[in-house]
Amino acid sequence: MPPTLVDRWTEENNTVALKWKEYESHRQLLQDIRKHCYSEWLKLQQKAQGVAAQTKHLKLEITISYNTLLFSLSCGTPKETKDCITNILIRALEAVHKQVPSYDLVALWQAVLKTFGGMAYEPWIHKLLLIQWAVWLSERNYDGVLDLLLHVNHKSTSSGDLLAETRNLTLSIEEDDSLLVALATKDLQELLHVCTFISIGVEQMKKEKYVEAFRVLQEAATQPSPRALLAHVHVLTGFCYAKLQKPQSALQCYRKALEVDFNCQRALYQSSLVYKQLSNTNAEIEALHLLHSAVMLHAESNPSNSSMPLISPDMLLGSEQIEFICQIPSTLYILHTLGHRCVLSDRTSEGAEYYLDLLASLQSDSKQMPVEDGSSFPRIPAIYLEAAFALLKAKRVWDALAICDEVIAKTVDLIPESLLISPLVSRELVPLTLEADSQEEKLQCVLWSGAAYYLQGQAHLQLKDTKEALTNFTRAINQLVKVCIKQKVKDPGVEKTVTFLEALKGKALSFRAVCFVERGKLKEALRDFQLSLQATPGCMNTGMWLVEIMWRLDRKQEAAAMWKQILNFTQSTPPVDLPLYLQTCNEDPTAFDLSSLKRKIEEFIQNC
Amino acid sequence: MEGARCLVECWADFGDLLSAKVICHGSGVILSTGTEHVLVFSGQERRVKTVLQFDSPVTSLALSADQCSLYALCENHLLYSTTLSSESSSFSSEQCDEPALSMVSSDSVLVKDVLSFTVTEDILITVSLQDSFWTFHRYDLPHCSARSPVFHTHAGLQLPAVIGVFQNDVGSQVRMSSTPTMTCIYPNSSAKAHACKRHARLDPLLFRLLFGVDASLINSAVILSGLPDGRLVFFPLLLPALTSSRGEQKTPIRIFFSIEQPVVFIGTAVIEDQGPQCLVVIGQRGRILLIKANPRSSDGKAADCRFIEHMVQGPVVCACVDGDHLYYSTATNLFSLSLSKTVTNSSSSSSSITAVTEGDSIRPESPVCLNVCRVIALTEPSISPAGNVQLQAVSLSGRLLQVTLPQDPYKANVSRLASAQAGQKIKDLLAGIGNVWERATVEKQQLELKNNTLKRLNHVLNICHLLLTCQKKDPEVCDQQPTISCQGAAKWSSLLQKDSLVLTCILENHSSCALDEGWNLCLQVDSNISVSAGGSSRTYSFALMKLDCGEKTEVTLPLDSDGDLFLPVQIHCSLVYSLQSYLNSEDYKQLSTSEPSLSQLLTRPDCIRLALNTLTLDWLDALRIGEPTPNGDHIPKQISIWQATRKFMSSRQVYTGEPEIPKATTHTVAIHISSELLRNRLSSHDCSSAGLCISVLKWLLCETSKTEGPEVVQSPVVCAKGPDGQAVRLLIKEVILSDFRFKGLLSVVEVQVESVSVAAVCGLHHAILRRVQALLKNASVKPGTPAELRGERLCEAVRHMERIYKDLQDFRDPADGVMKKRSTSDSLFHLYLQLREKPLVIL
Repeated sequence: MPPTLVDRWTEENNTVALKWKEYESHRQLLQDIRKHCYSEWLKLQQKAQGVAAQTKHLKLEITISYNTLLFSLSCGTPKETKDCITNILIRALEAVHKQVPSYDLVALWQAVLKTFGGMAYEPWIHKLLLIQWAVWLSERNYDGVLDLLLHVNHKSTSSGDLLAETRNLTLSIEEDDSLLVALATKDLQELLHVCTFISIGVEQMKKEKYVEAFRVLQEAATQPSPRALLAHVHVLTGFCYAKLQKPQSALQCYRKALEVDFNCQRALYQSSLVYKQLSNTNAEIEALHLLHSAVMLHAESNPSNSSMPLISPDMLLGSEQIEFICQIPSTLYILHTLGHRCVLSDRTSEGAEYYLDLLASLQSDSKQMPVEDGSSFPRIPAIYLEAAFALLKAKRVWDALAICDEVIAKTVDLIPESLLISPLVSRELVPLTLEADSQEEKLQCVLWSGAAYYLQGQAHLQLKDTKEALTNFTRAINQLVKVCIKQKVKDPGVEKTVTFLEALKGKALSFRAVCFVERGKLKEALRDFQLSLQATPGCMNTGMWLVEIMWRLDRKQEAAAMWKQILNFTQSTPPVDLPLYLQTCNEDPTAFDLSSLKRKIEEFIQNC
Repeated sequence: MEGARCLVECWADFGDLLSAKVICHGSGVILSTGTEHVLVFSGQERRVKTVLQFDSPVTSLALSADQCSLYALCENHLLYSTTLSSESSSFSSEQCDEPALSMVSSDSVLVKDVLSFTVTEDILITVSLQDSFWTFHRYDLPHCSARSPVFHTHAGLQLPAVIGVFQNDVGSQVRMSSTPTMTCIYPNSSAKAHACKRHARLDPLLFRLLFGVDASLINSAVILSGLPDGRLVFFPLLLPALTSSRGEQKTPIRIFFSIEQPVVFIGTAVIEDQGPQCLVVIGQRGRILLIKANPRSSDGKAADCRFIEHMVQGPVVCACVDGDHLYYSTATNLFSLSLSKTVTNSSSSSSSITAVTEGDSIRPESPVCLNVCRVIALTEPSISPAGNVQLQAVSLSGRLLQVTLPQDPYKANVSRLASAQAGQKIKDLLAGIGNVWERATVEKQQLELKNNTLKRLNHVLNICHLLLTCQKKDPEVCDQQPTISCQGAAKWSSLLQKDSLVLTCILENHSSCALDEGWNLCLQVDSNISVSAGGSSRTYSFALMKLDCGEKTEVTLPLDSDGDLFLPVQIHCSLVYSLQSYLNSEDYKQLSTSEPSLSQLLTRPDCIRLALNTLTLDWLDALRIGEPTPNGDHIPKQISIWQATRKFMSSRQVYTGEPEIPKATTHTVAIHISSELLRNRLSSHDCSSAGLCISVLKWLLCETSKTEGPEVVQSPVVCAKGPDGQAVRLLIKEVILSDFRFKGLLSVVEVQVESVSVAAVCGLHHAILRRVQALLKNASVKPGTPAELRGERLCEAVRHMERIYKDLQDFRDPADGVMKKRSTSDSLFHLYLQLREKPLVIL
């Protein structure tokens, strides 16, 4: 048993500190040991503060408080931390028999720094100062930190520049080997230093002052800091570059970030965005693919195993800033973007795989919780249809058929025999309705089921089963003609859906006409092509087909007139931005070889 | 109401409770009894195995999917999680009767500020009320403590004032109703739904119709929540944020119905053996909502939902569903309702929302009483080995009961109760009856009180109306007797050797309404001619007892306080009704002590004031006529007090050596009024001259005070004492004026006032002129006669008199009312001369 209380307390302090160091190196069961250490040091602090404050054991007391506060930052409440700091500052003043000016922290700090300036205890006071810095940084109280640092630098006039003060800061750091601490003062100071820079940089970025933010972050990159934090700095710098229209430099920064920390997912996501901006689809897909793998890998690793340092940058920057720095969209979103890009850039089999993955993770078995990150998703039936389209393109016809079946099963029975679209019923006026009963939703259902039948028809066409295809196209058309537009509706949603419906109707009709042609029913084909042309006026391909059919039906005069008319076609309607599932497959059966027709018709016209 | 018997077995008794929650746990139950303790009760051993102690009373309980962790929500809105030691059942061989106590510390707090929660496999859903928004949070359970909320929904639901509507209900019900109810519903097609039996499942078609195509396609569970205001909201559990057709983000949370009362229970029911086809929602006041899907019909009508509403007698405290039976408990009894019959009964009507209420043409399915009393908490139903439905229930008296329901409550095979149980049941029933009776009495009393108040208020308003219309009419039809009026007369009374003038007011109620208690008669006495030029005013208020129609009541009030009385005085009568009387004194006291603002509100505009008539009291009224005076009734014609004193002295043979003070002059003033005018006005056309004089005198003295007997006036001369004690004489005689301007001879009545006191003469003169003025005013003025002119002159004269009288008053020292300064006597004399200047002739 050590002879004096001071020695005993020193020993206790060192025991707890050693225990923590040991666990820190093993990285196990961190939360529990952290709480344990915190309570141990709290107890010790209570004991140490039970005797009158004296300079004799001031170092010990401050060390104990410093250790307690380090844990209090992660385990305690903000009020506990604040009280603890106030308490120890008052004790320090009492030890040198100084008047306590007030219980306000700012005033206390002024008094303490003034009193202990140049004294032997200064390094210990500075330990506490670092804790206060951390607290105020996490609260984004930059003025408080600036004030504190000004006092340390012995400046009376404020330059108002926290960065300059941080740069010029000269803390007296001195460790006493007999008094162990849980985190070395120097490490803490470095961390605070770089986090202050990052925090200010993020604030500037939020205010869209990218040039200023860029400068701050450049300086932050030169500071010693943990790997992950350095990667964040690079990502943020890249972000600034991207905003300043320097995509190549941005990509450089993201690459650097990944070199520093392979786990930096935000860098991957950001680079995918830059590639998208540069229209480099392959690189974008590559980046997204890597991001997806990284996310999956990260999710598989047990989160309880990943350790958290005693003072983490997350704590100092606050969750809001960390979110700004690190947030990436959900896996669902990544998968969807991947699939979509692949299908559009003709990497069909890959795209189909991604879509299948997406459908699997959408099924509730995956236990994927939706994350609110501002990104939003197309409606689920639309995703199903996109998946079907991707599968169809990848020649996985039966899978596509099955997915379409599912969409049809969920939507067809919600559609009434005829759907009157009138602007009278507004959903806002009748808030207590079921979604399925609203006009918009019914219109969507018509689009989905029609598109599903249409895709099924295409699938059967791929299988060369024109009979089935014909049936499915007929079904699609039957769904579409249920919509009866009584009056033009001003609602943008409805308008958009109606445009899609018209486009789909034109496509379905021309596909059915092709089926009829295949089966030799030219009259029906002619009718359908004419109807299709009505639904999508100005479609060159359909017009050519009409000429061809007329020619075959021996209505050559009409064919020639039609031909002339088509040649005069100017693209009357601007092309509609159709959803993926309504776009044309690479081998379009309705595509038409013009050369022979052209020859025939021109000959005929010349002969006339 | 038809009843059914069921087997009730009492497992334990915990004493009287206020609230309770109970959930199944293996073969036993876990129950909270509204205290900090949660009891784990073993069904086999019939005893409490473990007691969990929380920091605060536990309001709600849930088990995790693997039944190993218990989630408890406490009254401090903290949600705790604790593991249930599974060993508790394996160590059952140990013969320790003492239940194990384990403390649940604040370390196991998962979430703060929770109002209600539910747990599905690995997801915890909580709802809290933040800034008048209901906010739903979703948490991943295994990492719950480490992660911040991952999902926020601002549902945009402003909270209307719902809490505290049901003041009369039992406190526990209010507490229960003020939290939202949450249920997790799986589509029946989902594989997980089959794996997890504890959660409600719903037919895919109905699920799709209610919760949308998106949730249905990915088989996501849906959280359905009933808010305390009765709105039903839902959001899919595992659906990312979606874009609507307009390109905006769709709100994941939707309201689809409101049952307009706090939701007690949400569940699904199996009807017609075709899977869970029906969504059941029951509200606290007994409104039951059943939602069924209509599949797509052959004629092309799209599939839609049918909403069926049904009412049962509330309040519903707790409920559960098994198959097609809904079991619910009102505070008094447990009922069973067959949902399939309810649905079939309502199917005849074709509208999409069918309301079935008691007394409809289609007789609604009525619930069957199960004769289990005062159940406040129920578990999910389970099936006993024999195939009967079993429920664990907690009663208000603290009994944990196992209720085994008969296999078919509609058949007569009723299990007989053991005699002990029957006794128990009778006790329970009696207690229940007692409770109901007590509640009914309180209700009845309050109702009566309210009715009374309304009746009284109505009465008061009637009276107001009556008086107001009367006053409106007044200018036109002045003959009509006012319905409620106040008459007053001055009287002298002698008390403690001191004479004082007392006003007696008589309030007469000629109206058809009685004046109730609570009315006050307010008399405001204004003396506008006084020393202090502003005039003084004093108000007297008399509370009236009930004053029926035709009754009258009399009040008296002193007029000359402090000995100085300035006549004439005006007395404004009014009726005041104080609204404070509506609140009984206790309420009022409570109000005035509790909130100052409220009491102010009540005391300030606290009364209704209805003005009645105004009385005027002048010198004539204040005369003391015919009273026996100490020095004989031959009160001197022209003897002043000074003379009287001398006379008295000499009669006692006391020699006074003083020189005789010059005889005080008697002041006389005369007013001439045309006899013809008086004859006309006083309607004594055929009287003799003497008769006229007497009637004039009578008119002057007794007009206002009708109570005074006319026998006082027997001759045209009256001697009386003025209010200041000075003797006055009124002499009326008819004289012929010959020198009157144009009419030649004119017969006039001369009213002569004599007194040694200038004040008396002055006052009386003024009073008489005022009377005459009133008389003239009352008469309709005949055009063409000079009376009009004279009237104007009269007004002038009255005003003049008033001024003189006032001047006279002002000469008196306000302190003792005695003229002191000799210097003033000159001006006084001048006044007197003015007074006498010219006897006015009134035609």
